[in-house]
Amino acid sequence: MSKFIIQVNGSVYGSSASFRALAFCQSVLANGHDIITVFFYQDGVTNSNALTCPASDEIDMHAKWQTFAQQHNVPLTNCVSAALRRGVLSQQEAEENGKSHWNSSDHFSMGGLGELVVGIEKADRLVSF
Amino acid sequence: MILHHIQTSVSTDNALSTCLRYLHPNDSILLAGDAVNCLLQTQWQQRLAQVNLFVLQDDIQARGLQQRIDIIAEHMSAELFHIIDYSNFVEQSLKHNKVITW
Amino acid sequence: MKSVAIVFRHAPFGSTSGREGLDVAMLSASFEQQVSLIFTDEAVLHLLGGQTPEQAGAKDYLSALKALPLYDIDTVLVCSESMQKIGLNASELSIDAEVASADMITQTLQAVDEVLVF
Repeated sequence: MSKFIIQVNGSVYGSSASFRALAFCQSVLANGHDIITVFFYQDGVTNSNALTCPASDEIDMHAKWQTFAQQHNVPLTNCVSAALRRGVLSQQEAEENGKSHWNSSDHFSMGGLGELVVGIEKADRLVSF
Repeated sequence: MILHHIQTSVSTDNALSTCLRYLHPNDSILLAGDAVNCLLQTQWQQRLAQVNLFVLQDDIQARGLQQRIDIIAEHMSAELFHIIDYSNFVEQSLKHNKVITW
Repeated sequence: MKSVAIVFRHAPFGSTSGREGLDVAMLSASFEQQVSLIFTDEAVLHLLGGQTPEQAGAKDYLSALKALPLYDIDTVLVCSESMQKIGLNASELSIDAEVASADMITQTLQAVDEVLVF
């Protein structure tokens, strides 16, 4: 069994990288390996935006990541500074920054880049999308 | 032994050219997403002819390119050309020493 | 401790790649990882002196490059082929960096534990 850390830089909509990242993650687990965390960086942080409302016949990457995390207990981590810059906030960041709304769903935790660095150190393999 | 992961089209991004500049003879390239389209161009078939190549099957099929790529693959080296699924992708990511996503 | 190479391949200011890559580099170094930086393609322009990022709506993240030695980031490679292509001379580099052949960059990519590209 190997330990992976997955980095997602592709946005929730407008790029296919997030879709491939999820398919890869599902395959990692199906092959008996482990995922330390899925780390969302750059435009990847938009995947945690719970306010994405794709049409019913379209793929909903936000919902898919959420279901994946729930089913397999895989941590999803947003880079908080990348998220703040792109208007992706959890309740705590909203309060700290004097914003009345927030959009990041609970399945995504807000963390620092340190979590990526520590994850890379612990993992056998880093794969980015 | 590196698996170079290319996701973008050669028409919009130079990820593949840059990766080729630093490719070691033992390395492999994985084409995914729009990157698979480069195989349709003779120029790129030639540039990739000596490279151990993996191409993500879902991205070929999604683009309706399976038959074309099969024909192109016949002209390229059979030992070097591999159409793979996500499970093979995971396996290759571990067989190689690291994955560089360009 | 792992050795990590951060590759910059996008031009400054047109995207936030360079800035966000540099953040990863500095953070990795402050977490005691062994960090090397590689500048290639139009990203070599990051190392040109006399830039005013604010005029292009970007944060002045270039000044952080001068602090690299404080983070113990001593290996900074700049692709000679890319420099040549856009007519950049070694004497024009704003920081202490090594002009590197493609072979040298290949060797570095092989040698480190992980590589992140921005």
